[in-house]
Amino acid sequence: MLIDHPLLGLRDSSEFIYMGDAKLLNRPNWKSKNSNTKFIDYGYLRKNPAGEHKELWYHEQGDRSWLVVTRNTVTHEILKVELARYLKRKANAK
Amino acid sequence: MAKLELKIEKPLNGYSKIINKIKIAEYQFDDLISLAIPLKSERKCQLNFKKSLGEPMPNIENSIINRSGILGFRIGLDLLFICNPSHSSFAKKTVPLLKQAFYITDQTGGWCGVKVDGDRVIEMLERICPLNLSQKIFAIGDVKRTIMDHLNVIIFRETEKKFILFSPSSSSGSFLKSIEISSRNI
Repeated sequence: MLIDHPLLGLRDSSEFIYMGDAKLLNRPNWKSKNSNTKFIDYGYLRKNPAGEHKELWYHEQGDRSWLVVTRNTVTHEILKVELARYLKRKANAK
Repeated sequence: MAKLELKIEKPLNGYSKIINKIKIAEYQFDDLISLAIPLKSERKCQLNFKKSLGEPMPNIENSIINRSGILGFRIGLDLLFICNPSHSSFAKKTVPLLKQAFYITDQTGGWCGVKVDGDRVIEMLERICPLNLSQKIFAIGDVKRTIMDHLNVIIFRETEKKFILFSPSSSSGSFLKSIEISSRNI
């Protein structure tokens, strides 16, 4: 499987480590109401869809960047690859 | 009292061999340091790099070689390596200058260099390297970090058929063995 890294181009998936659901980027605020429930959801509950899924991939044997890869879990087609740092900064700026 | 002299021992003890017309030799260097760009300091680091090494800071996966033969390459948005083959004033003059802008880690003992050179070098590398080695994608002067035979490797293209491979010195023996086997099997 090849991953089209936004900065480096096509790279073999053996250079990357799968790091789970991309919802891990959105850590709940511990001061918010129902933070206990939110943290259980954040830490343990996953949708595990058969279809489009946003995932975190870490380029360990490369530039050490974190990517958000949108992948179809049925066909393994990679639909989109984004740098996690840019997505997070964009979200924080809102 | 006998005079004692400390000598640096290289990870592959100056290994050099030709297998299937591919010359495989340890690439020896005096210093290898990594530079990390602090958050929001890209501009300051660019100016400092130019001042310290006399060349502009390379783009991601590109490299520079300055007049003293010092090789600098960038493998990530905020990570660079500088390899000094033999320039004597590097540690005393260049490193303190670079320290004014970058976070620096000395990695000299952590890495081992192997130079591979020959007409069939691409055939040999294709067996262990997952990268596209065509010159359109991986041009002369480019550098990439990847995985070869389960080991982390930084590969630098010096000329069309000459590469320098940096791998962790702790596993350099295993890496050399995989290069030798791949060279025999082409």
